[in-house]
Amino acid sequence: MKPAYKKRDLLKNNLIKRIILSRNLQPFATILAFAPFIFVAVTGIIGISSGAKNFSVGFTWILWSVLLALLLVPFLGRSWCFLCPIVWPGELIQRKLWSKFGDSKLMNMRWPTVLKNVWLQIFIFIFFGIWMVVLVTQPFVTAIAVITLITGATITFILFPRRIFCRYLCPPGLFIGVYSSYAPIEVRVKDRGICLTPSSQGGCNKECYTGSEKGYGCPWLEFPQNMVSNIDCGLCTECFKTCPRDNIALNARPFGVELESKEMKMKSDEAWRAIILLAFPLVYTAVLFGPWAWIKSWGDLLLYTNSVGVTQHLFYIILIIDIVLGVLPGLHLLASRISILLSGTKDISTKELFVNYAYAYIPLGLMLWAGFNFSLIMMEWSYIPVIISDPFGAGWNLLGTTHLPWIPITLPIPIAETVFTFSGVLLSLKVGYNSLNSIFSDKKQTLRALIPFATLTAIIAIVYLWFYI
Amino acid sequence: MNKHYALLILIIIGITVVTGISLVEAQQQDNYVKHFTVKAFRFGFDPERLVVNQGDIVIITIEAIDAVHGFYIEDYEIRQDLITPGSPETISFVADKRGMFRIHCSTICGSLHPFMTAHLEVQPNLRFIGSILGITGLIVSFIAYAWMRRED
Repeated sequence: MKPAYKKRDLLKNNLIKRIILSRNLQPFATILAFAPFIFVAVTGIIGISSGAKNFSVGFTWILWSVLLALLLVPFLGRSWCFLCPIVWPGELIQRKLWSKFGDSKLMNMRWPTVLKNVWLQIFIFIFFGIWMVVLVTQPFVTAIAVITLITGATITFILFPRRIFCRYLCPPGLFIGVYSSYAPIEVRVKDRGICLTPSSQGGCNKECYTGSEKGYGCPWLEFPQNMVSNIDCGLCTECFKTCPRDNIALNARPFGVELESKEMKMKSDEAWRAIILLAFPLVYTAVLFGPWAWIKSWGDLLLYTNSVGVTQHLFYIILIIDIVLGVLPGLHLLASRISILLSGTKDISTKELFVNYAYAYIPLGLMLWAGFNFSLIMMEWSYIPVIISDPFGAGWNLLGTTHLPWIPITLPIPIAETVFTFSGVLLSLKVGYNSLNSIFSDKKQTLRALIPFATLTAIIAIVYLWFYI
Repeated sequence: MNKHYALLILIIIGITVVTGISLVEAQQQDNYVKHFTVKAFRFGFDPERLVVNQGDIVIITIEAIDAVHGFYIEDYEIRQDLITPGSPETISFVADKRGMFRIHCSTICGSLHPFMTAHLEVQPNLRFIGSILGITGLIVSFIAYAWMRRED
């Protein structure tokens, strides 16, 4: 069967194949990533309390978040999950220690069916997002967040099989997962027919899921033969190792084709995920880069010692939740309703349109996240040599850059923000049009249905740009 | 012509006319000397938005209220570090670049220092107005392209 889009298997290159199939690659990469995060925890707890002079804040919220939003996720999807240090202790216990005890009930608890969606992950992300003002400025809070994530992941790995934590709980995973669907890289089976061949007729025994002596069964609980999306594929490379028929490909593909593919299964919780993640760069931009000092101080829980301050902070929490879970989803619901009215159809429900079109916001969301992080790195890059030279803020001068002044690079920001936003709008329209085209039979209907969504997309883009240009 | 399309065209014409009028009005304004006294406190500035017209001579006196602060305007590259409480500093410049420029504290003053910001808007903000028109144009062009494109 002809593939829905152009793709090229990178494993045809022998060097890449050898690297991917190596059992040493993942532990090596994970240890490399684990070391700085342990240092984040240490410097956060015992280092200076000023975020601008502490390795903990500088590394996590300037280097790591920018690396994720500008490079890893847009170009390599869930590549961070491949080397994620947060799950390393848990996965080590699960694979090296727990495997000796066989099928104990303690380590193989069933994840509740009601939680087999991303809602819990969404609420954890919102929980962290609400306290971003203290999270991204207070070294101690950053350290506690890293320790909490590592502890939470380890407990989950001890109690539940495989990567339940990554699929249903991990807050950075919420962001990484949904935007990995836009990345130009994918893991897919080469020929599904081979997977469907019964083992009695020379087919395999589903080693990609069950595991074999060559590797582990998919830690992400994905079944490669049915995989049509990157969202829940952690790029762990186990299926490359376990497939006895060499039937798994690491494909390079055009950006965003997955979102326009008819094979993509639209889910309600994923739709909400896309909308909520679109709201956050707007909220972060308004709170952190906006001119309003009151919202920053209301968001800073640690400033408060009296009841008035706590009330203000509660109001701030309600405000953020209202925007993220109320205003933006509400506007999208309104756009969906108007879209139905304009198209003149009675065969499609508002809910169906709400869910289907939400995926079109993924490119716009990704671009706004990239824009927010671009502005951040341009403004704050000069803190990096300072914190590397003096990670604890203890007066060291290891590299001779401790006293480097703050040197923002502001010139490219308005241009870059305009390019990011315009690209996001255009790519979202493209995905949205194709999505509507597969719902409506008539082109006139499709275009009429597009108008309310396009208007909402424009409003979001204009509101975002107001903070930068 | 369908009434929906007529409405869309009317909206686009409306946006263009309103934008054009505001641009002409902005250009007709004389230049003034604008004097602001800005209070810098943890973690913001008061007033939080300074609005001037292109060509204005802008004089800003900055008073640090609660700690040592700094004052930096993006793109204008105007910077005054180490403003101490009780010792106001004055800066002046000609607002020759149009647009919105963020103002930052340039001296580390506490946890939220990197996000201590205000806005300087030099009108007419053609960058922003142009972006509104650009996004509108992009959407209209996309719809027009999709409308005219022959489906395979």
